[in-house]
Amino acid sequence: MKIAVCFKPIADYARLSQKDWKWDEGHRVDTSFIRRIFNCFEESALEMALTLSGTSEHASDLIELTALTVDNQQGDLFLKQLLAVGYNYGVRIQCKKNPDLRFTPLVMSHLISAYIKKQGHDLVILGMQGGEGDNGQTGFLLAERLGWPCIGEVSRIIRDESHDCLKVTSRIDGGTLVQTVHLPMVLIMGHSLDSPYLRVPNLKQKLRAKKKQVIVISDIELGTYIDPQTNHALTNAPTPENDKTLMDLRKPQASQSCVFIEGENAMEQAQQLYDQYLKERLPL
Amino acid sequence: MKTAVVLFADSPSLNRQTGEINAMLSNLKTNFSNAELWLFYKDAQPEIFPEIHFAPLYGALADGTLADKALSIIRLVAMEHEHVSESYLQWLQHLMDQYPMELLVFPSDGLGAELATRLAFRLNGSSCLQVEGLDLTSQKPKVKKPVYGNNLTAEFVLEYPPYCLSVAKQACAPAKMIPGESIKKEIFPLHKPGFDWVKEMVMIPDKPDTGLADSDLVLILGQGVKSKETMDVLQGIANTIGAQLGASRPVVMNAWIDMNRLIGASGLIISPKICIAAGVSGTGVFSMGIKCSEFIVAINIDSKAPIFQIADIGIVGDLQDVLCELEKIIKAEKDMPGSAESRIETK
Repeated sequence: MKIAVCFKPIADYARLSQKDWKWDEGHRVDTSFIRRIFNCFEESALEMALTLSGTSEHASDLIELTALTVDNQQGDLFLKQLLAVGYNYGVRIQCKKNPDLRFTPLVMSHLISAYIKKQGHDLVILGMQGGEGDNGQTGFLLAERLGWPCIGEVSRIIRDESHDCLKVTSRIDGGTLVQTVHLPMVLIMGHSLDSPYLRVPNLKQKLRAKKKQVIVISDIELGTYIDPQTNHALTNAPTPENDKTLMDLRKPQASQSCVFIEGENAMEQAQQLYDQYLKERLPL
Repeated sequence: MKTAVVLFADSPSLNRQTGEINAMLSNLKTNFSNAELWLFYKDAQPEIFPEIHFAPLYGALADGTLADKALSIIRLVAMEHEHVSESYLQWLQHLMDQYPMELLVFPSDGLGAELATRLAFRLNGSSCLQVEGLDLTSQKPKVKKPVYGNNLTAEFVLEYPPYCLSVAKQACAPAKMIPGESIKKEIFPLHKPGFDWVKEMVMIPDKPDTGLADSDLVLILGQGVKSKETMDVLQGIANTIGAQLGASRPVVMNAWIDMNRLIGASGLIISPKICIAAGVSGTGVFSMGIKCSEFIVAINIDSKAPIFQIADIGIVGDLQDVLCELEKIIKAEKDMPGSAESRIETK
């Protein structure tokens, strides 16, 4: 079974202060000075796939894992880490002209599908949402482009007794769905208690990963080229257009001014909180 | 603009989902030439319908005419597989073929998001999820949605019809159910599409509602809670002061509390009278879940935590110390005979 897990490193927004939320004429926010991290859903997906690959009992059902990202050279750091913890391949799609891919899930899904079609994976796992655009659409669009079914808000993926099936648990409105499904399939990871965090490589794994190479493929090699002016892919395949154009960014309404309760200790603070603010508001 | 709202009659959140759609539609200053409800159902055909506000609730339209609130028609579609998105997509494609719409509005849940995205793709239209605001006064629709982890809002112009939107989760008044006798209806018989990728499917309904979404007093715990033991102590405090307990993602991921108590963009959106956020840093994704609360108290050891930006009252200190003291005060008030005016009764 060949599994590809797609991820996009994102800036750790929690480390930006209020004044850092400003943008240039291209509506780009400078986040270059803060560290990048895995998006939480993709971190879950990456760990889930590792767990899944660890459960193969026979040589016939070995799982080959590929970590896939569309990024510049900075993405290699993340791919190296994934190679260290057990991914067989770390692949980075590099767009030659550095187009703005923040709000273009149509283009993103086009790039991923071009790679998946070439490599013949059985399963693609993505995160539900994340990154600058918070588009939440790449997984669905990838399923459309591949002509595969997909399941959203996945929380657990385990092997079924029959080798060609997986048992997939997902969240739906008002409940949980457990499905036994045939592949190929696109799975879109939501919150997962099974694999909230990615494992950390040990020293030996890190050293071994140093010898492994990240595979870099350009958009042109994938038979597609993303025009940085329009973000349209120039290709023989059905053209992915941008279905929306960014007009403006806004900060949320000016925050209320928070009144801080002073006080010598917790007792005084709690007393003030109760007397001055809670007493009148608490339901009688 | 020819518009249809797509809803699922069997969804446990139907009233809330319709309320969210109403919140968006009622801000529009546009009349709809044709306003339809496409309602999917399984088993029993619905006899009451969610009330949709297809026009400004109060006042006239931008051009001075009076808004027509009425639905033109309800199209009822029977489903065999309520959890297989492909079966909805086939129906939606068929409906769009028969009754082409320019705007399709989907609910905020995962199914709504999936259908909006995939249908727009199949029809060469445009889609956008988590839509907080819609403006139809120009030739092309403008939409607002949160971006950058809910830290910013972006405005987009949608380029190609049909425009398929799923609305943002938000605190809203749930929609009423109405008999809808006077509204024209069309009923589509069940058809049984075959799907070969699902071998077996079991649906496990959620545990009964926690009551968290409707509670007046909510205590939300974040990663400032360092252990399961502390969590248990705080659960006790919540019980004493009559608060429902919610949590941010790190706490839920430690499995210290049920997933259905997760607050934030990908969990519950709540708007209680009082919200106490303790040990919550206040990321954009989390803040989305409580920002509509009437009164927010934040307790955090770090005075620079972003949570203080949306709080009315802030306490810099140890959450357990402060909450233990608060519990003592409220307990004393409760136990003190004859002080009814300061008594707190739990619901």
